[in-house]
Amino acid sequence: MQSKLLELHFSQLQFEWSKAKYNNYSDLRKKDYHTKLATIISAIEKENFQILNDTEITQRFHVIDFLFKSLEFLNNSTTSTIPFEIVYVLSEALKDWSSTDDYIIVTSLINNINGFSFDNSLMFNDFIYSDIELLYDVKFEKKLVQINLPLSLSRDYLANVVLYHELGHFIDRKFEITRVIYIEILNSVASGKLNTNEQAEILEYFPYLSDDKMFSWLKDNYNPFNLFSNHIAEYFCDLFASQYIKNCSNHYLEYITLNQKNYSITHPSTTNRVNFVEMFLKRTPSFLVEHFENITYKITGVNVENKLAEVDSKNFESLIPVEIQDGKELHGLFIYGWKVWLDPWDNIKKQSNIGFDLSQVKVYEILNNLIEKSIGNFIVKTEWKLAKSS
Amino acid sequence: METLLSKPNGSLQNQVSMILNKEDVNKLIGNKKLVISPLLERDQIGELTIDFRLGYNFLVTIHNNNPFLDASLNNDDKFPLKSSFQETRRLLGDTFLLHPNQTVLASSLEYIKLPQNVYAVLSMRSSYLRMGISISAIVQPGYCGCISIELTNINTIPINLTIGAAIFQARLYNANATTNYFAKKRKYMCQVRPVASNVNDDNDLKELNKIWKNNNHL
Amino acid sequence: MLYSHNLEDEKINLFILFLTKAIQGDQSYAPIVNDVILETHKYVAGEKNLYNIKRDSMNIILLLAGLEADYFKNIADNPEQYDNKIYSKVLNLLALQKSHMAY
Repeated sequence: MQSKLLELHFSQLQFEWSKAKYNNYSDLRKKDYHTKLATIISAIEKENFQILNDTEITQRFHVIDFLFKSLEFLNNSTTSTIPFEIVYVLSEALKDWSSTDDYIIVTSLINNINGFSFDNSLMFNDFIYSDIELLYDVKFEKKLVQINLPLSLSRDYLANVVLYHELGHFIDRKFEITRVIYIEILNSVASGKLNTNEQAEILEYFPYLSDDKMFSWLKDNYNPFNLFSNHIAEYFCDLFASQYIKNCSNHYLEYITLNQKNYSITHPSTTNRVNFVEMFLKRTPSFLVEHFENITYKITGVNVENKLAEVDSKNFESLIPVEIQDGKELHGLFIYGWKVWLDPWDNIKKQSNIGFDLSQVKVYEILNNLIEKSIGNFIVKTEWKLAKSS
Repeated sequence: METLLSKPNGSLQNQVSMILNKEDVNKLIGNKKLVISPLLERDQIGELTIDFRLGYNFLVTIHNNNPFLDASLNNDDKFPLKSSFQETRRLLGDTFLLHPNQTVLASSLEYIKLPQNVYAVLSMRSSYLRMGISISAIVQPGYCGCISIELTNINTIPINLTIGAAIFQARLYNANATTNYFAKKRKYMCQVRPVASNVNDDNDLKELNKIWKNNNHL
Repeated sequence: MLYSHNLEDEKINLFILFLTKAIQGDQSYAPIVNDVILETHKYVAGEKNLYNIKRDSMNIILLLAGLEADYFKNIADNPEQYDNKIYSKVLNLLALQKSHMAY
């Protein structure tokens, strides 16, 4: 690779850095991260690209990509409109699976109505961190992970339940759960030991496995983006989300997919996804659900189970936030919020003695406000209690 | 000299607004007629006042193409008020710098719901009055939501405010008559973040706009 | 990312780079590549399984195991014995495979 191209790539970074170097963070962890980026950039500036060999030039390309991505994440995190309530709730869920001490979670609001995602591109590649340490003697103790939210829905707590599904992708990636399920299902089918019901269930959720050619191709050609991988990952993430929000993600799913009856290369049919979650929630005996549960437990040591506390309240109908007592109730809030949205809105009118018709947008606004404030109050009270006790 | 409040049979006493004391307030909270959430410290409820804390959401005015804040309908919504405000958020314990002559819309950390017969009169706590910030507002009986406050720094130097600090107070008064806050359509309902003025939704402005058009043969 | 198509692609590219560096005599990269080779050996030898092999390099381990299980089965379980011959073999396996890989 030509050193001139590397110079171009690094010039782009320097140009970006000329502004980003003045970024100011109140969070000390981000400050530390920023300082480390500065150290690496300063070290690269001193290098003579002309004398680097091809391998060394390629290494720098990877490092500069890492620096660019890090800056992109940090730049986004300076926004002053972060919906920190939803980030807090997701962090609570994340703690069930992994220590959050290893991560710095940043948030980006993007101009895409379906733009819910976890960007984990700086999370799961130990090689790049090893390389940076060997080249520049800089060690990153914490890694950046970015939660992306649609700008226009950043305060929509009904839609934001989708982020539990996205958190599932993050956990899946961390533990490579889909990869194992992929192999185990194909092995089970190939073993010939499945009974008729088990075989029928597998074919219901992965109909293309009945095709011998397709089966062989999938067995020999693993790829994280083939349809079997994609479908397993989607079922896993639906299952994952339902531990926290029961079937609420189905409501949103049915809305965004218009209840898609057929599968695509990226997603199973909505009907199957909804049924899969229902089997888990209703504890209907299911070979596949049990398979997913067992494999997840064997890898992570964490049971796939109900991880929420239901909110038994009429507060929203009375137009007041819920007093959350236990962190698990934070997840239950979304279920309660969806319930109020789906129930007749006359319940709110009667309970609060409202003398005019509530428009849908007013209910939407009220519900989102009350969910946000219920979470916000829990955060404030928790932080206050912690400060007083220390 | 006898005062209105000291009439022996209490008949006149019942006709004037009575300020609620600590015991009254605690009783209302106890029977869930008054909601203040979160109430981080019980001593926020004083003998005659309740301290409220600065919340973490703000709306600040920004310079844009609008030449002014337009509280009329005579310009066909060419200068929408909302576009002159920008939202910014902080975390508990962070600070917010209030510049001289700047008006910032903020809200209380606490979400409140007032009883149907109690209203609140707001003022800054004296420590903040002394720095040059003033507010003056009334919260109507039955109101629910965070309290919107308009902070203006009338000092000549910026003031650095801490999010979560108790900066203003409310005196609660008995309104004698019970009213229903939600009997008519409300512009502000269950607000938890400050909201830019909805003055252009005022029916009065619509009528005044018609008069202006008639008078000018428009 | 400007350079890499995706995370797995980047991981494999970096692993290939590390192998190259090790072959070129930069011993600081040897422990990283040794770790992956040893883990692959343990997996094909049955000492480790799908559930406990290292997650971050799992796809490379499974890829190598799938390409030539017998080779990794018979490789020494002492990384100190790994040398340029082994690194070159692994590098060739990956280089050959990479041209067919979809990711």
